[in-house]
Amino acid sequence: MTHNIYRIYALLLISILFIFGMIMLEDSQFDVIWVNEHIHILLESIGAFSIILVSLLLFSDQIRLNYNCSSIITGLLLMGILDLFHGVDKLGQSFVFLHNMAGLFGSLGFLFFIPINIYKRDLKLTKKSIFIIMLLGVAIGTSTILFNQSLPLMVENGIFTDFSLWLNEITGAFFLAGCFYLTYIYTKEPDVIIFLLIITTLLLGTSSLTFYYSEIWCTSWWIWHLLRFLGNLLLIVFIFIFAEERRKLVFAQNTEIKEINNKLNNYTYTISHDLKEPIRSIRTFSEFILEDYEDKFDETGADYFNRIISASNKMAEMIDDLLLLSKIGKNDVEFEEIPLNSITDEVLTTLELAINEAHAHIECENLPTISCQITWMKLVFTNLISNCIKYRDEEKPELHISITCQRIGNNYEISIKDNGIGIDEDQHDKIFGLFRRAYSKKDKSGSGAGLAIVRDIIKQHNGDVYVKESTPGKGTTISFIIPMGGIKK
Amino acid sequence: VKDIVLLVEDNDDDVLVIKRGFSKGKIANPIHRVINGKEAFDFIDENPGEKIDLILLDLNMEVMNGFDFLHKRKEIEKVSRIPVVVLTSSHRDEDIELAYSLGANAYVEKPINPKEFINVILSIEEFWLVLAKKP
Repeated sequence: MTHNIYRIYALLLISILFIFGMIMLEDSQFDVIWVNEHIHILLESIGAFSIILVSLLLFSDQIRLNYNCSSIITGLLLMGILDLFHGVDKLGQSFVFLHNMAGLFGSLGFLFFIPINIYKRDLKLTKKSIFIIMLLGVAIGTSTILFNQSLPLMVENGIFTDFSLWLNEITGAFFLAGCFYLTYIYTKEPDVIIFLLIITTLLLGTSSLTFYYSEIWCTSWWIWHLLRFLGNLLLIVFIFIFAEERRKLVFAQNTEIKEINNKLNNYTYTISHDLKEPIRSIRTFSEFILEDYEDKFDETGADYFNRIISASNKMAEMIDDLLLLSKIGKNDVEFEEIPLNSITDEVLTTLELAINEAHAHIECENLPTISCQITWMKLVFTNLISNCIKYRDEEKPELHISITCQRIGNNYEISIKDNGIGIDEDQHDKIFGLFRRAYSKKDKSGSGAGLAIVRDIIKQHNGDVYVKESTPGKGTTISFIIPMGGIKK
Repeated sequence: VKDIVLLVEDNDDDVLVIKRGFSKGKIANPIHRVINGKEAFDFIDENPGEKIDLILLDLNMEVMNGFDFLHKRKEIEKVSRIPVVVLTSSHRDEDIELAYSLGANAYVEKPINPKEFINVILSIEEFWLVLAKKP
């Protein structure tokens, strides 16, 4: 907040210097008109752009007020567009007319703000209406310049006409009315944005009122221009404040999300840990009963107990996998460069027994060196290869597994292909869900978290994993993408 | 008469399993069981004549958990000489590191399979109660 106060001080200082400079200019030998005109263009353009920007920000909901701002958005948008035209127009009827119209539209926006919010009218601007308003603004602007001659007389012999003067008085009154209503709101709901709008309308209103006492290019003329410009600049401050607040909000939200994630991970850990204890007891004592009282059971009794044991085993496995999943989110494992072949070699050695049992024949291409969390990457290959073995087609004499790598853009696509039972097309996405299987429950062991673990690990590596192709009865290819970052050639 | 094994464990089921392991493995050392670290120190204080051969320590306990026990143990010379085997269901890396850095002599995870659990008990006995020379 303090930053913004400094900004306002800076603006005030600049404007005082500006007034001082203008007074100096009037007594100097420079081409006063040229300097005046160019300063005028600069002032009006900056003001106009800031007005348009604020209007669009209000519309896009970037700036949130608990009030219906439709009229202010419309007014400011027209005001900004007409001010732009005014800024670049040559001195003359249209020049003054555009200025007056800009002010009038802006002030009407603030005036209509009052009844809309008192009677709580449900007016909503759409993208289309914004577009139409912009077109309208441009149409008014261009037609004013084109039909310069048929406009009501605004300036005569360098003096503003009564019509022109009164138009500005009305404009000023409208702005001040808006200002009063905003002040009333502010007493109920002190809000920095309302406060800025109060000052802006006050400045714009005073600027319009003082128009009455001014002559073109003289100091009095510049004073109300300056007031107006200050009003516009305040709107820029307004944008800064909002950008800052939004940034803070997003930051706070991100921190909150991280905290929630951490908490959830901790909960998962604690919960699954505590869940394991009773399951261990169930299993342990079931086994003890079987051991100690075996002779007292008939076949059915023993079968029931074995069912208790295998169910608790399965549950323990699921909990272990949940524990594992909760660990994947934690960023405490370092990324290291490693040739993938050394990982696959190790995994194949670990799985040797299962591989031999399944009569599996495994081919592994030369794989690249990647940067990864080694323990987790081992788990990816372990799970994928175990799945090939688990879901092999028993009717085929041999299980073939091939591990290949392909470069796609800046990524490696690593594929594990088998000639197993295959997966139905509608199951391709589901198999990556937690505790999901593509097959009926009874046929295969394991918790069903293997691919969910793989997916989480690969996501942690900024990659993606998917079923590349699979046909029931023929086989499956599961591929994962991993970014090339940090590759050694 | 053999020296006792002090079992610091709040889970009754685990106590049963460990006791069963002792009896199946024909381990003659009697087990004295306490339910947390504080009770362990109380027992040691109140029974100065009792010779403790080994402490089996759980980590997750109310009042005084295993880490706090290890921490306090360092300060008491008499207790710090007794080997401590952490026997827990946690296999968190940070728990393992912390336990060792607090002076645990071994860290063993309770296996879910009861047969393995009993094997673990037997291995502990073989090393700590039979093989290892203690002060």
